[in-house]
Amino acid sequence: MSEANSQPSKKKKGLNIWAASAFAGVLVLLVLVGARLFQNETSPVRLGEKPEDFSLASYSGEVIDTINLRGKVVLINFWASWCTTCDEEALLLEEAWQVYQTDGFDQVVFLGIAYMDTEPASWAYLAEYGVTFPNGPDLRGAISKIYQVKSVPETFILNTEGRLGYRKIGSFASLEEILAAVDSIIATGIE
Amino acid sequence: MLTVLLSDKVVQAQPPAPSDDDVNQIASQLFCPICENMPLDICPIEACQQWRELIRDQLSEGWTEAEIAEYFVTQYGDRVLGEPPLRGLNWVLYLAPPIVVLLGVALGLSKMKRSSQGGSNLEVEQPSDPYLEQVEQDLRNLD
Repeated sequence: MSEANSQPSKKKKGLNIWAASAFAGVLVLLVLVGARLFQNETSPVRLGEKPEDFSLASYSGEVIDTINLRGKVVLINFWASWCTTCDEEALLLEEAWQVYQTDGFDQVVFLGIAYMDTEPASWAYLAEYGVTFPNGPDLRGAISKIYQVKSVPETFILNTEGRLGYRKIGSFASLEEILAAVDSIIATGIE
Repeated sequence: MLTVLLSDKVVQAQPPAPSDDDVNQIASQLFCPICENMPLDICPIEACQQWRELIRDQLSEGWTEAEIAEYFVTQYGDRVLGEPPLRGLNWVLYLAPPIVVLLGVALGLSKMKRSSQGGSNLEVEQPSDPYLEQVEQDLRNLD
């Protein structure tokens, strides 16, 4: 009689272990699914933080690694040929770039990142606006992911230590605004 | 005559210009990288128009659908695909739903089995009643 009573309780115990394992398995799966869904979500880079370094394969064929640009102020501009407000800014950025070039000041680097653009359209755009500083595609969206770029134009300026010193969402209104932003980083490191 | 023959061959060697349907057939498999869940074939923005033109150019150059999709993934990332490719943690997205369903079914079945076993145990454990046994025996004798 007592044996008969103990059998169902043993079975019940076994089932409970099995159910607990299944529940744990489902929990693990849910955690993995969550990890996968949120793995693309990174927090935006704040002023003073050091963003992850990246490598830009420029349209002119050179490969630029930002890790090799320590000691220089680096302006990173995200643009696209389909962006309606980028064209005027492209002219201003090129003008600013020329200012630093003619001053013989090689401590400033401009990098243009074509955000979600097609290569033929990017080429045509750079030619149309006479952009001469290095530009390249944001392959797989890797660079815009680092900077959490959601729209264009957006501009970031890194100080000589590679820390974010300035961020501009939207286009620059004038050459003076660009020069002031870059000069402030040259002078102080962070605006 | 030779020129005519050669020019005829050149014309024959060129693949036919891709139609809008050809372009849209591939564009419908790809998603706009800057929009939310918008297939390229119906996306109205200028950037999507550029991407459709790019597909047209690639088809003209003889690219296959797989090559075009691969190009788009290389340029803009996995987000252009309708379904996440099976690599990295993506496999979890494919495996999790059937595993959870299977576990649910298994749990349900075991629960059903347990209740049916519980019912039969009750029958077995019922104490025998001499009076009822006698009645059953009498009934059998009547037959």
